[in-house]
Amino acid sequence: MESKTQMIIAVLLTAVICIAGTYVLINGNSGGNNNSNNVSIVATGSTTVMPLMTEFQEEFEKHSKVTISISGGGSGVAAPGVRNGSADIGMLSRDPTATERDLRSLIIAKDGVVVIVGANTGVTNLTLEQIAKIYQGEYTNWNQVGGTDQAIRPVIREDGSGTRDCIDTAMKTVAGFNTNNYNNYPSQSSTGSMISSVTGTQGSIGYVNLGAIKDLGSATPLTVNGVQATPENVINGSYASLSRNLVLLTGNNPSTATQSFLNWIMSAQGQAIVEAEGFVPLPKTDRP
Amino acid sequence: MTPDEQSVFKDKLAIDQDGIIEKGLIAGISPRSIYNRLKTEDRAKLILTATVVITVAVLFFIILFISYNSLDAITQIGMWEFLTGASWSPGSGAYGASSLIVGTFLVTGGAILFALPVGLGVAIYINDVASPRVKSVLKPLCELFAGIPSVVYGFLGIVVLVPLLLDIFPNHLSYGYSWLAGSLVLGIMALPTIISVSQDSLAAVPRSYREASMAMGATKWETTRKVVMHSAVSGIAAAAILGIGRAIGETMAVMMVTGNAANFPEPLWNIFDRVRTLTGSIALEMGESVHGSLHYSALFLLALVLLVIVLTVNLSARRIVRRTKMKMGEIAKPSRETKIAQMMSPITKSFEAVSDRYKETAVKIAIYAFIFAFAFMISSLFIGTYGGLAIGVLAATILFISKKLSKMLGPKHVQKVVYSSLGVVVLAVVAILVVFLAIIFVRGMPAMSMDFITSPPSHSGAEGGIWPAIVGTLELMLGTALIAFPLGVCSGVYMSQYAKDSKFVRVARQAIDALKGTPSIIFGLFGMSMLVIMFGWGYSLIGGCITLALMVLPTIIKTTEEAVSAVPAELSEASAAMGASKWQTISKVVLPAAMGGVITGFILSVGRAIGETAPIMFTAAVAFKTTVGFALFEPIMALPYHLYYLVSEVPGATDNQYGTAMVLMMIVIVLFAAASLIRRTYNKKVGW
Amino acid sequence: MDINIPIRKNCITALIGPSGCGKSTLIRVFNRMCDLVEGTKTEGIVFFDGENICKPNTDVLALRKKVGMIFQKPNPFPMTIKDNITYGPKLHGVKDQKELDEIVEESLKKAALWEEVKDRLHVSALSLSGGQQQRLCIARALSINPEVILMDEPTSALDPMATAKIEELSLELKKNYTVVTVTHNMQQARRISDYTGFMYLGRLEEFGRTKDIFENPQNELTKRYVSGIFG
Repeated sequence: MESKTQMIIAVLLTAVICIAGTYVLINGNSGGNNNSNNVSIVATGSTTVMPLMTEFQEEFEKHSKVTISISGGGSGVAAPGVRNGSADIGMLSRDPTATERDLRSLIIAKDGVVVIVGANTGVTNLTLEQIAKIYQGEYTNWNQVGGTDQAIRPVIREDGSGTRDCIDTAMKTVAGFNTNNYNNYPSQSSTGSMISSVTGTQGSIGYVNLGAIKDLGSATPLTVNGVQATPENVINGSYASLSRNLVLLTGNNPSTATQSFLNWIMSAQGQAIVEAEGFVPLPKTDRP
Repeated sequence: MTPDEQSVFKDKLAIDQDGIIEKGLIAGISPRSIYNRLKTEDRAKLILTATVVITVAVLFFIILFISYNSLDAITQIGMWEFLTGASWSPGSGAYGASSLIVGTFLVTGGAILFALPVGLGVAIYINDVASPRVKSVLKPLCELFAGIPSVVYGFLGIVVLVPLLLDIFPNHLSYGYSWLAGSLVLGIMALPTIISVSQDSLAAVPRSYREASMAMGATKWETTRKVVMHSAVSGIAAAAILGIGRAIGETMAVMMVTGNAANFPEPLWNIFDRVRTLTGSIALEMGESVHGSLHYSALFLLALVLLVIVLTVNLSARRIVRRTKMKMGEIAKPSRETKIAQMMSPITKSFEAVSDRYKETAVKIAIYAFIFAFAFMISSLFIGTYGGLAIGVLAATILFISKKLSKMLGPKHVQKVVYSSLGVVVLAVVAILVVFLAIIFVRGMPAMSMDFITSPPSHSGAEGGIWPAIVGTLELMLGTALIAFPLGVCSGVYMSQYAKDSKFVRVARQAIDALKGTPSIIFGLFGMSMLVIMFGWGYSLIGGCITLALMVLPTIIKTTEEAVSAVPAELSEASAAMGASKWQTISKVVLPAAMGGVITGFILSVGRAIGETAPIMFTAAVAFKTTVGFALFEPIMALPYHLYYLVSEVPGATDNQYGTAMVLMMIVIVLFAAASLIRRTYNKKVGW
Repeated sequence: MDINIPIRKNCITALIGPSGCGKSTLIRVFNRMCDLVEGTKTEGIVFFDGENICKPNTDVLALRKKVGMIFQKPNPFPMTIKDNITYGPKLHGVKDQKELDEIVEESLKKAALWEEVKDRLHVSALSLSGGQQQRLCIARALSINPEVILMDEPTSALDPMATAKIEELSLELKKNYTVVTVTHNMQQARRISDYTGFMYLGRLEEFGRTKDIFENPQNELTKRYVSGIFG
């Protein structure tokens, strides 16, 4: 056989195998995906909501045959995941943005951002203005805000984090705040790594969500403007500047399994877990 | 062929027949008859060729997908702006990648600066000093070193190295996470590659060179330094560049310890500052970016830049190796000299004569300058510019004195000093490995229990076990093996037995080499953009298997090719002389003889694959999925990703972190042990 | 091994014998290259300049400087021609460029290679032909001014033309150096050597003037070997 003909046949052959294989696989899959009796739920998004979600999952799987997979990634992936079908539920640690309003959203809990500091700062309270000036690089030593003589080492969350979004929005209410200095700070991609970075660094400052308060280790939570970050203060509005909603996104036609899971989350049983995890359950009046 | 293999083979034929039928119908001829007319010979060759075509297609598709996805960023940001912009802050719309590119080179450079001398030292020790018994311990240790998953290195970096550095440099390291930590972890990771490749090239230097040098009264060390290393220089350069290639593309470990601050160190040699690499940015932000947004596209553009850098590095490695070989006369220079070269030849010749005369002086000056600069940069971080200058001069003086001293000592004593210090280096490297393993196993033991192995995680992974992750990893391993084995082995056989010096083969060879050097995160992005998004599979087991299989494919092809080529030609000649056809010879004589090597290489590559995090974190792995089952289109938990998740999300769960790392290491060690057992039995059986 | 052999100054001594008889092993004892093989044991005495060189405390490096060696296959280093020759002198402490240049020229002239390579000293030694490479190896050995030159089948990898040149060179060399050559080519031994030793199974069967060994061998084995009845 001529080697040229052979080559051509080989190429065509390969192309056909690839295309046919792909066709079969995609068809086979999308058939399964549109099935509304799907007993598998995939949730993706905010790393703040994720630990809460795993508690829901653990409890919910005890009562039903539904399988739930959960992945992090940040609030930014929630909507795209739901839209392209790779996820059934998107998790947000903020309110949906204008571009996300086409999806169904459900507020499942409230949360506050807790400012935490590492060892040796000598500080227990900061005003929002002081925090903003620390993060924009104006204050570089704790003695400038009434603490010990110790360099301030800010830690931030990555771009796209709902927690960062919340505190940045609050800091932007302080005149002249900018994020020009953010490139000098280590950027942590999750709540957990934020805590380990702050506890491992002398004179550091960072922020986590309310639910993480029980895991702080040697880091200390601060009061902001004299108000402590507690569920009560989030509910009564005195910690409003640093609080936010935890939201779940779904497609407009969620599967029955997804819907039953959401209903269960909003039930007394689900909301009890919210409280146990250190977040703020919704007031009974707000529950559907 | 065993009955099993036969049935696999028949299945393959069946698929191919269908393929031909579809095509043939379009063309209006009867393809089945054509296919049936083909002899077994040609059918075999056809199938083997097809597998090679697939491999080439993979590279093409990777480049296509990465480029296509980065188009938006190129048109909206502009290539020049992107490459030179200093600020990387996607949230505020700033996409300047220069600090990331510089960060990548700084971390890699630091790693090589420390790994190359250490690795070369160990290689020399293994080659010159180690007894056969010590050698037989060191080489597998080295392989195991290479098999430790990146995420485990990152984990050890966080729990061991970062606190250690903070203790050593309390005044200079503000966060512990730093360029220094990144370079150290990367350097340790690059060590095994550098050791094994440079040791191979040292061992390949003909014995006669050594003898000639020793016969003139040179000591072993003088011979190694002046003749053996000189002859092996192309191999050592290749080792260095392969190490660099691996380091540039490394994701998880780097991301976990460098601090990820997208800025330039201040001053540029401040190893205590935090840096961010290209791979780190992609892994860190890909999860956050909205599909189709400018940020998403910019991350693909980062991947494209990374791919270009890695391919350039690997390509220049081959160039350098070729050129040094040509200069040494090991391969012939191209016979055609261009007219310009001919006209220039008197000039180049006289230049060569002059450069030869001053070469040594130049090298000497360069060494002193380097030592001075290095000492200055490091010490100036501690004691300021003037102190740094003083230390620099001091270092250069010490070098000068030690050279004089070595002359006074005489070659024999110098050899003793050098070899014993190399021994210390080897001990240190072995100690690092042993300490790593010991830490994981000692601290992982408390977590070990039946419950930990067999139950799903609970409370975000802080409690409970890792059963779904173990199952997921084993499923990934199986799937990867099923896809990669037939493709890789067939391509390898083709490349060693059928490949002639045709254009297609040259392209295929280049593509395989390029794929081999491609960073694992690029495979991850490719898998994500094609399987997860375009095909709409979401995160799925099969997506992970395909991505991992593509990643290990080139390695399997290479090891298969080597194993098959190592079968002595006499064997196939003997078979051919009895009237066997080529395919009969290959399938009945060559392949069975090479199977030991093929399977060993295969197991080692699968061992590497299952430890990978970057390729599966965007294609297959989720943080939680407590049920277990073999569902191709559902996401899975996997040990490496679970470890990464626990380390970054659940700081309190130390026991479970170490436990997960320990189980992962145990699986890797079992695979490596199996591989070396198979190699040993086969080596005994065939004996060449 | 049971050997007692005198090596005379400024003569060529040839060792002949069938494969595996121990000629090469013996010659490697003369500059202690035998040490490189692991597990070697040496018994007996080899006197050189009034010293027993088989003593454990012998300065092997100094010995090898005085007793050079040429190997079976030409083995120039993969460096330039010049670097090949300056390797030895530099090793033993010569630094001056001028002096090195002189050594290069002198050694190459002694090895009858100067005329062929003087214009391309900066070319890789591996680009030379086999015969030239072997002469380069001889020049390399001469560069450190040895007293004795050991040749271990120096022409077995060369064609007849190149062999003739090496033989001619050997005859020239014996004016200034003592040469010991191992060869399995009896005719070569006959052509160039002054003394010949015939070895068989690790024993020196006969030693004497070359003429005597070939024309009037005393030993029955020697007779049969040189007349081609066995071997």
